[in-house]
Amino acid sequence: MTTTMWPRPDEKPEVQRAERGWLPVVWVLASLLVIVVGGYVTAGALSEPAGPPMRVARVVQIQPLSGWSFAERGTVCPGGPQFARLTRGGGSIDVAAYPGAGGTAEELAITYRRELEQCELTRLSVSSSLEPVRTASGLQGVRFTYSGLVPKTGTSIDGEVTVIVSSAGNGAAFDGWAPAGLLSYASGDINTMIDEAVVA
Amino acid sequence: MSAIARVPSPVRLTHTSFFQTRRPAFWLFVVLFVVTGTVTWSEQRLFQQLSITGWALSWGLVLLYALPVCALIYVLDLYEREPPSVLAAALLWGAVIATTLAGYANEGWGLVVSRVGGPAFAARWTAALTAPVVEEALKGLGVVVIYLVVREEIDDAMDGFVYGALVGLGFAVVEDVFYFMAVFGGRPARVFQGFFLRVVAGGLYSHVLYTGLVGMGIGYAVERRTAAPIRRKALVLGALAATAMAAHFVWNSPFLDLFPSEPWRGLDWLQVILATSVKGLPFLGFVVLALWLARRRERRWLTGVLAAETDDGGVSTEELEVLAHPRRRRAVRREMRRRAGSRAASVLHRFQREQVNLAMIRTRVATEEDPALIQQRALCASLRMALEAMPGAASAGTGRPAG
Repeated sequence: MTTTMWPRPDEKPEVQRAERGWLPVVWVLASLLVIVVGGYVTAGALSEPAGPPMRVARVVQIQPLSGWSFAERGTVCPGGPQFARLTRGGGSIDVAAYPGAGGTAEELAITYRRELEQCELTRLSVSSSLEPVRTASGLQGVRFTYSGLVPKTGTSIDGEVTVIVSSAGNGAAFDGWAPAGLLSYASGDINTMIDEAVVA
Repeated sequence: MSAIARVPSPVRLTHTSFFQTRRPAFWLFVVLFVVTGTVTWSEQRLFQQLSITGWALSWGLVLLYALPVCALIYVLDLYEREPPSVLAAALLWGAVIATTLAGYANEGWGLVVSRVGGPAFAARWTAALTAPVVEEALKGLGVVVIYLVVREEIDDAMDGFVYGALVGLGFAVVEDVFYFMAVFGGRPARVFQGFFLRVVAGGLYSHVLYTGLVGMGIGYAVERRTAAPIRRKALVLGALAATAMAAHFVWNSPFLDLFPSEPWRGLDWLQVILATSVKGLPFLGFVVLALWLARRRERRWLTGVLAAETDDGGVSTEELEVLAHPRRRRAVRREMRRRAGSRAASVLHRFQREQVNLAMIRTRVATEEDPALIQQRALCASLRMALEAMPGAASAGTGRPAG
């Protein structure tokens, strides 16, 4: 049995048909764009603000995204700066406020690192340098990463701290953290919330 | 020798070069290659700076795997070997364009997974939910672009498999080097560990097969030899692409995860092979079956088309019997070499190739009296005469016993 399909006698030659190729190319290009950019657009559309903004010591305001909920308030160390925590499925962000901190973001970053080591974590390992950052809302600050062990639970965590000092001299430390290996899956939301945060 | 010199020129069957500057898809390829090539180049420079030894070792090891696989893919298409420039373009799409775009796309869709499912869910499932769809789509689009540049070169499912598998091989090679350097750390001992996991234990089941299957679907969808309805072609393409994505999903997911925890010692290394086999062997079996069916289909096409040529001098019934079975083709060439020398075997090889080309030409022309078809018949007939004129060569080329 032959399976040959003979072209129609009046069909245009193959080469002539092949030269017309813009429409399929546009389709390919559009498909590539959807695949490469679509995830960012979808993730952006899904990052909706949810619930009222969370305020810490009347200095910092952060807007939780959908899925993130308030977990607790407290102080980083006894008698130390206040913080509030938002959490979601293994990822958390602690927002610590330093009213009238003065100084630079670098100095405040060193202070926060010391408080982490004294009161929160053991086996603390911190990145060797401070990376300058600028949030989408225009605030400037520095960032460092760390890993350590929570003594109460014995959990290893990874964290990324963004420290900002406003022009009014108020300071804020945004400490996004998650169990070891999970931080990269939470950092998209965490950075979006930091980008929209307000430091009075 | 004089008989060979007098044979008619072969008919120019196809575009044999990828450089089709009048086709827009060619320029799309060029632009994408230049843009993504700069990213790939920067990444490789960074790896060199991290550890030149680890980087060189990584490339050496992946080439040990890639070169034989490349050769195997090349010879899979028994009836029509594909043009080298088009094969190279397929490799480059996978190695440079698809890997770079996949890096960005996986990150974007990974954000969606963590947004919807939260970090703990995302840590377990992102690789399984994003990479199969993103990577198979990007690699499959490479086969589509190649088709748009050189439509004449993708005749059937087997051609699609060859191009798809090469796109997948290019992707696997660059991804392996990335893993050896960025995930395993680039130190020689860790590079060897990565090589064992990704190539020795898992190399049989990876991107080569996934994209080969997607390419096979594309080849089936665009082939001109059969009059299958569009709906059926779309169904086959969809089913093969879905199977490739499903296999990729299982590979990346926590399902059937039998891997030992690190560091691996003693029997752990065997357990790694067991773990990859459990995830990959069923899919490998499926691809082997699909390839067998594609080859059978290709043979049916060849015998169907050339059966109509047996009265016109291009091919005899006995020659067709041999031609349809690559193993028998090789056997009669060996027999020819033994009886009449390597020169005669070489002429027989060309004779068989031109008879396959006769089938290709017959499929592409509108009438049985097309000048290209007549010219090709004459070429085959003259090659047969040339063979018969060689001492000891008569009848060895047909598989018939010597008289």
